[in-house]
Amino acid sequence: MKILFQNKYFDYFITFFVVCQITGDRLINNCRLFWPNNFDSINFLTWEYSAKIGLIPIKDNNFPYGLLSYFKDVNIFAAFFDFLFTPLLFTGYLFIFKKIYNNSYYAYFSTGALLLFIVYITGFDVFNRYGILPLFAGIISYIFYSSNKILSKRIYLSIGIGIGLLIFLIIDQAIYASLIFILLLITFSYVHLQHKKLKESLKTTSANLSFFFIGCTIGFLPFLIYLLKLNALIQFMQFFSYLSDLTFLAKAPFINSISTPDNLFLLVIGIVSIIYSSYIIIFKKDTLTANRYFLISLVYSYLLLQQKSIIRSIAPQITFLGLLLFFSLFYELKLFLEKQEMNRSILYAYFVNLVVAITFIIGLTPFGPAALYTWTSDNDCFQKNIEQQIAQDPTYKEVKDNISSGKIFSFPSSPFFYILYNQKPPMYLSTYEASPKYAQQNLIQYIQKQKIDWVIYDYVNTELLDGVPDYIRATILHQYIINNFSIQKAVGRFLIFKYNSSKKDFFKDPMLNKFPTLRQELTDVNLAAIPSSEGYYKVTLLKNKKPVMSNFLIKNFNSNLASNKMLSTNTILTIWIKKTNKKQLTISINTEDGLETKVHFASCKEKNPCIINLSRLPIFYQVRQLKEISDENNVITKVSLYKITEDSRFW
Amino acid sequence: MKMNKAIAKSLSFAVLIASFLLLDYIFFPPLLSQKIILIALFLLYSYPLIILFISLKKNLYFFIEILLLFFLLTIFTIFFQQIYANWPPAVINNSGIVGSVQYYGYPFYFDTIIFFIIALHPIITFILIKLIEQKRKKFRL
Repeated sequence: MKILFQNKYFDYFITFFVVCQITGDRLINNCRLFWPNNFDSINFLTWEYSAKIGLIPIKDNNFPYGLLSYFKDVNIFAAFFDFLFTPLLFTGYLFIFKKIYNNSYYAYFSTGALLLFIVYITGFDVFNRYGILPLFAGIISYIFYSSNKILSKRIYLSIGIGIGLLIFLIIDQAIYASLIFILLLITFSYVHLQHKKLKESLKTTSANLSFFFIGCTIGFLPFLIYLLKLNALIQFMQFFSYLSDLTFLAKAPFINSISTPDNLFLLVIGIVSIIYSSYIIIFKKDTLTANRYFLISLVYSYLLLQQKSIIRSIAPQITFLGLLLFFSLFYELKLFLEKQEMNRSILYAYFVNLVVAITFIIGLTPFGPAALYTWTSDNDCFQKNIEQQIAQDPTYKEVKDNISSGKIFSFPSSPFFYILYNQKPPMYLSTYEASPKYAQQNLIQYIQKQKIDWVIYDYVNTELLDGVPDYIRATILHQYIINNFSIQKAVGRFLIFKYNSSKKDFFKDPMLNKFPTLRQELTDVNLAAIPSSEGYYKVTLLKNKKPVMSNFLIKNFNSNLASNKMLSTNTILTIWIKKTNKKQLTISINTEDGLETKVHFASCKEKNPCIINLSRLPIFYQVRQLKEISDENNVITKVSLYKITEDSRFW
Repeated sequence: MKMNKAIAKSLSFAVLIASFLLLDYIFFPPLLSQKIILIALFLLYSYPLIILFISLKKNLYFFIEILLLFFLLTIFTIFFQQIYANWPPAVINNSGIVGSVQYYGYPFYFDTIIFFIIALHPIITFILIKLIEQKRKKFRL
């Protein structure tokens, strides 16, 4: 026992053991009960189901979190490694704190504070994902610090191999890790730069980067072989392209969430850290300590993750990064106060005060796990999840009772139905992810290949996320459903559509009259800022085109419409308006067969028109003859119709 | 510069009072209103930082930087509506993606650019200060 206590790695064993105890339920309890009626939780449940039925990530679905997370519910080695991740991370943090702070007590206090914060605020699932980057940054900064200018090529190669291997385990963090490494290499090359040896330094840095990239390629090879074996290399490249498109579809205004305690905390501590580390690099680069190297690496981690949070707020998930920055800044303060002979106990009391205040007082949002860990026999786990979802929302069972046979497709979301019907889910589980044209085409192909008989259409929750109507997000998919399926009946908030081989006109179907809210939704369309954005960016595409019809007066335009039998196929409506204070405008479009649609949109500027692609409006999913356009606000100065091609760049 | 022993003692005193107030806030019905406790805690926690700031040799640099930061924040706050109105809306790209920003016309890079101006301006500020300092030294020589 005495030998154990005297072992220099004893504190690492204790940390590892304690964290294993705290997270032990994730190993012992083999079943995850996902929260019912939660968009993210149901997606995770569906992905777990996909793993169980043998679907491959990237090839069969767009699971973005890496192979480890995907297979942990179906593979015992993945589950065990996933369980070990958390204690390994904490042990890693203790290791780096001890090296950087050069003070065991401060390292222990910091590790304890971090554990407290993760338990109460961040959660282990999130920490397993985002905790890797700051730890990696810390290790790299310490390597640069301790090597004092020269790192061997072998180290660059090894780091590259490590990151390459990380790609298939946790994709996004591997990309960030490689960016961090490059930034740190450039920064610390500058720090060690001697003016007379600038060219030599640049040459060395470039050579080092090359070894790093060679290492990444070598590390990536096992994953490449895995992809080739599964014939999924092309899908992987498409997946990468999709990840960049994900930025465009996920982006939400950051300004709206800036005043939350999580964002304020991150912004304040981030800016203070940037100010201090900029000062250090520019004025004090000869006095860089290990902690200052660590602070710089944490600032880069902060900038990368904060940039992700600006796309779509993940502030509650990365507040622990603010805590790590706090540890580093407080250490600098501690050194100063120690020089002023301040009592050490008081210093640690001050530290504990601030940690408790950050964790419990300032109002940070606890980010809970997506599921509750519980024990059950493996076969029961899924059944328990199904029962829990149905208990929360009995409509699922009612729909199941109404559709006893045949294959289903769920619009816009509700992927739980694929589990209920024991059916292979599509590549994209909701319209939110399927906004790109190629994704919508993929879902249409799924409907065709699977020979889908029924579409389960949620006509009550028409805006899945961010207040964007789902049929606006995925107009091509929605058009396909409306043109090929007909309403049969309603079950709660769902309409059951049946495949309609005779391609009945949806808007002439008497069944639609029984659902006035749906009729209203599809004929009273709000395009918001889309027409003005299209006009702003794409009016130049019309410069060399001649309009098929154009007039400065609506009355004359409508007379021409009547006489020219204008069809809605591949037609865009271009509207110029006079200066107005009105923020929203409305036009009505009537067709020869007696249908009418109202279109509301944000006002466009005088010098750019509003452009509306008629085939994006639900009543024009089928070809109709235009009869009349009404200017409800009396602001239109010119209206034109243009014919475009099928693959046009207009929305 | 070594602090006065009295100041070092007062720092210790501040931390002790803050500890009691924190315990009161968390565990007991507050003797004072919660808002007053929070303000008191904020002042007490800031006290060592203020002492540090005053003691720094180059505190003028930080002072200039903090002033510039507040200036930038004030400018953005006052002119936010004008900047937002004149910024181009998000484009619907060739993939036809319609998300929140494309639907509401929110400028895509608006947040990112403002954030990085605020986050990275200290580097530019300190570089400029260093260059001015170096020129002054050369001029004196």
